[in-house]
Amino acid sequence: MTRALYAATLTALCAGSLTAQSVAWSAGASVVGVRAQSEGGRSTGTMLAGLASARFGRFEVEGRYLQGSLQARDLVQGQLAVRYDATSWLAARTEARARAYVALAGTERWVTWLVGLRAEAPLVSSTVRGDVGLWRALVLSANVGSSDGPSGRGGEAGLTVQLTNRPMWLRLAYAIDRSAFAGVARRETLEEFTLTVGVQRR
Amino acid sequence: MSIRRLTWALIVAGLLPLSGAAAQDASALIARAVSAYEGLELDAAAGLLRRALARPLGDSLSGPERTRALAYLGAIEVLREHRDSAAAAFRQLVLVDPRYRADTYVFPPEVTRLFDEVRLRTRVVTIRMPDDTTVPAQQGWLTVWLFPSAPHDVTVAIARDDGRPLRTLYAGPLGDILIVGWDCRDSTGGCAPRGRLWLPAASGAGSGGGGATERLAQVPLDFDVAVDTLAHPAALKLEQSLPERATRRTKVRSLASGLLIGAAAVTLPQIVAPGEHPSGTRLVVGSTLAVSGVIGFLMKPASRPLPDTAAANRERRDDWQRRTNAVIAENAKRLQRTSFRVRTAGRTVVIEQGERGR
Repeated sequence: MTRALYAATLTALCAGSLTAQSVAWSAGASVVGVRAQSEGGRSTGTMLAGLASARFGRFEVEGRYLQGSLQARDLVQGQLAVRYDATSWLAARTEARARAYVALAGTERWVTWLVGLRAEAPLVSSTVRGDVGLWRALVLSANVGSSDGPSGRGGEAGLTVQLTNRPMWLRLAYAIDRSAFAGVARRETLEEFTLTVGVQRR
Repeated sequence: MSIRRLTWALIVAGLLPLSGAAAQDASALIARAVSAYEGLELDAAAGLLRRALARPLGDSLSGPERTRALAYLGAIEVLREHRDSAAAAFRQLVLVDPRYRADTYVFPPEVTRLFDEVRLRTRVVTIRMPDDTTVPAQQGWLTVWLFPSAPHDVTVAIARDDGRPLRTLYAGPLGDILIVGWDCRDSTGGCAPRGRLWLPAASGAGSGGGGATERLAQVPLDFDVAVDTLAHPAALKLEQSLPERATRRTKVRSLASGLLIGAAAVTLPQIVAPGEHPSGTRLVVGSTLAVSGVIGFLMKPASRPLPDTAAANRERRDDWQRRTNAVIAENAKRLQRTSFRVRTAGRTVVIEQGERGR
């Protein structure tokens, strides 16, 4: 019921705001330093990611793809997020995220639907902006043997440099999330240190 | 069935055929009167016609029947040498149907002569227009036909429900027939207001214009506008704009934001995943954020213009202007497709001078 309410609210907000808006496009490529921790131990890796987004007035839709190797296993992740800027400094976000750990023993798939809030502030006039956000999983599923006691949450902080009258932008960010199933005492914590270069077109 | 219900049923059953029977009675009376007239039984014919025209029978008469009854009644009164009564009947006839002309094959010359005298003195028009019509806003017209009882000056207009004039459509002489068009706009070129309007045709006493109004024939209209325009984008609020000049407040805000967000980056692992051993990369991001805040605090003297925030604000204003212009252009297109609906909301009412008090 709660999920349906979230979805209905989001749909209503979208429907009311998409009329007569110009679309701003953005795309970028990232180098991501990933550090994963689980019961089995700790692994790190450097990966590449790509992202693209479209903004309609106060709404932004963003897709991101990440792939790379974490020593003994590979990581593949896809995300699709919708963001709504409630004010000039506060935004709400919902996201569907699918993550796969590919190993010789098999592939673990983690699927999360999350909602969160993000605050943003100009640091050096509007050229450099800082942001911090927290999210919580509404739905979490994984093929780890049991679906009892799911929990997921995460956060991200970063800064974006956007030069005036230039289409290029640069972003430095740190993100961490933890997903767990208490029923099988299984958890995955992932840290990302991201450097992104992107272009945008209005 | 109770006594009360039975009583009501009988009353309703008795009333239902009354109007039809009354119409038949009135028509039969007129037919008998015409026969009596042709047999020169003038007194009997006059009595029958007066009964047919009087209430309640007279209310059931159709327009042509009433016209016929009044014509014969006037003719009978002429033949009975009751000239005043004949003139009154003919005058009533002209008001009912200004286009009526006495048939010289049916009535003798003294009758048609008196009718023409009365018709020329009784200046009034009849108004004909579609009962329900849709008028395109672009180059569309509501067409109204006016037929006078005799040549005279008329003023045709559109008026509000309270009588205030909205637009004069025609003012001048009217001979045989006049066709006027109304584009559903007021005298300033704007759309007429929705709701009840009137189409009055004032008949003047003079023939050269400028005479006092003798009689007013008017038709009630229901006027509606079918238009569906988009709302303009909400006006930009001042608090949504970024500061365009550095102030002490903006400097402090930069510093506080940098330090706070930097601290949040460093403490994220404790919030999200307590118990884990976080990497040192969060310190890189956190310190960069904090340093940016310090730079933001130090690099801008107070009151210095901030060209990049001014540019961001200008871009936001330009975007708002673009969206507003798009809405204006779309509304202009939609207004071209707008149409007006005009319906007659009742019969023509004729008001004599001095009676006008609506």
